[in-house]
Amino acid sequence: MRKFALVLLLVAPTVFAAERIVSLGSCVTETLYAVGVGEQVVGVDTSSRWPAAAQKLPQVGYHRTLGAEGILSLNPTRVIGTTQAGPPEALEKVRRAGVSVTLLDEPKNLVSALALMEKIALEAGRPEQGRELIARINAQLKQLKIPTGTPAKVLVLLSAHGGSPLAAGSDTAADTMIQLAGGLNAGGEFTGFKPLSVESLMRIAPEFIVVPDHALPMMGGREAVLKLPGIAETPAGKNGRLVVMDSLLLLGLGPRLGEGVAQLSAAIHAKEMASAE
Amino acid sequence: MLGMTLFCNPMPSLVSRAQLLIILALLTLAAALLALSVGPVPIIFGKVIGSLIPGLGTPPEAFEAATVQQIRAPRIALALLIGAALAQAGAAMQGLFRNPLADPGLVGVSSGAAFAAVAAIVFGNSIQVFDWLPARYVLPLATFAGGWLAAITVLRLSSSEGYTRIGVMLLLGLAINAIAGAGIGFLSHIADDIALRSLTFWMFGSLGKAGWNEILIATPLLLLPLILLPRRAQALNALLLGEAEAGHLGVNVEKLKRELIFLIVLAVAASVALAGIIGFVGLVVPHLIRLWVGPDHRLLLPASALLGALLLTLADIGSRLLLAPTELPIGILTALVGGPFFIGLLLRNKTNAGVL
Repeated sequence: MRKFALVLLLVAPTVFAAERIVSLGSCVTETLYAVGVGEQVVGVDTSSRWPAAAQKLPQVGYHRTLGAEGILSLNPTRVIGTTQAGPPEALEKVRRAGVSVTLLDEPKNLVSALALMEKIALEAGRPEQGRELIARINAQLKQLKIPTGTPAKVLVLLSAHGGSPLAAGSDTAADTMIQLAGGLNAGGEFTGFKPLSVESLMRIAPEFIVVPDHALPMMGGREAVLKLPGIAETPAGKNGRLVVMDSLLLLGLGPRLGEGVAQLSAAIHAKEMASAE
Repeated sequence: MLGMTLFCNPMPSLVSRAQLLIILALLTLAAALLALSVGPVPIIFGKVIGSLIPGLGTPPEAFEAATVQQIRAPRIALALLIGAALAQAGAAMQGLFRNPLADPGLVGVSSGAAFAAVAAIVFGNSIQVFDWLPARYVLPLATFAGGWLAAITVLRLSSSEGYTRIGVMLLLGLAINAIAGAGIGFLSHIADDIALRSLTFWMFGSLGKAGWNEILIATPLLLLPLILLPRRAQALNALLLGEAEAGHLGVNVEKLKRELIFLIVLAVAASVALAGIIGFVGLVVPHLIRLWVGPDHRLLLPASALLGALLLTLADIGSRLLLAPTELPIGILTALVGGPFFIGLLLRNKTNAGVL
């Protein structure tokens, strides 16, 4: 009996190793690597830019415009993605070709992000590693020292085409990150991403502007962002408080969530920490 | 018909009309076979045949058979149908308007459809329209309805006392395009990032979404105009002389206009609903045929249909292979390859301005 169990233990990892996974969505890809099945991933979507190993894999396209035969050409045994992946018709064809397709809910906040990582770990046959990952994130969040007092007003900007910067409101990944980092989302009064006029920017008067790094060149660099009409007049603009963060760390809600929150928290509490020393 | 003698035939006498159509049909068939045989998944030709006709060729693996039957075959069927329908509708539209710049989208049908599609993409996730309607049919149905609504509006407004003024119709189409453009702009403004990217890609068209269910619904909608438009070839020839002249030749011009618009809108609305906006085919294919064989609609309509089917099938091969495993939107290819080709043809035929 013990021998049989031993054989099972030896066989089980090779069974999982035979999987060839196409991963759709940055949080799915990051989690697969975080729970140790990165070597089974054979293809990713264009949003999966971390870790470096994932960038070297064939890309099957933007996760809303996938092609069925493109995915099948990687000879996958399964496709794991979020419900954002599509079009559904293409994924249906992949399923009909005998590939298991699993679509999980896109994370919107901490609870759903952790739930998604747990499910991905389970799908990948690594539930134990999934629980460890979640425990690690929870520990990272608990370790954060958030200064007491009025929270800083933080605004996350995604782009600035046409003069009106696109800002993150409530019900976004950015909102979750700001709250976890101990800040107050200056865009909290609207939902989703909205272009803000010069006057609205001045009225909500953010103390910190946060920009994901992929958007910074499009916005013309640091100086240009701080001089945008409306932003120049805010406390953030006057004091030059612009935080540039890795896009996936800021908005990915993946396994590096704890690090992202810590980085954001450190940036928006820099003033308080300096004065406390 | 008397008017026929007025049309010169610039086609070289070596190739007869029937021969031209047969050559185009054979080329289209070859392109369709090529399209079935190539793709990101390498499948040898014997297995492709085996997947199509059980017992022939080499027996394929299950996933190879699924790739040929469920992925390649429906999209090639769709490429043939839509390419033919758009090109023929374009030829008929240019004849109806007696204007070489006419494109099947001119009566507002493409932009009306696009507006409805963008609305479906932007609001699609937040509202469930009808419980009994599966979400995947909301976008094509909305698109089809939007195209018709725009076209009917243009047709109604340009008709009075049983007379449809073609010039007014053209201008109304432009106005509807502008209004729909404003609507699309507004919806893009309020759309989230994901909807924005989805609608950008929709605007460039794709044949990748069609399965056999969609083909079953689409085939009658696209075959009806493909069969009925060529029957109006003689009347379209007469119309080239002018409306009054066509009337004198015994053509019921008002009835003809309404029938043509109905068939063109049916072809374009169904195409856009299934594959998004695929530009160039409807505008340029009829020109290519006209430059080659002249303006006689009896040849122009079927030849345009065949060349449209051929070109769209070839473009789809490029769309699947060039950036594999990613798919390149097909509208980018049709415009990128077709545009320069068309310019070259125009420059060569610059002196022969009478053809246009």
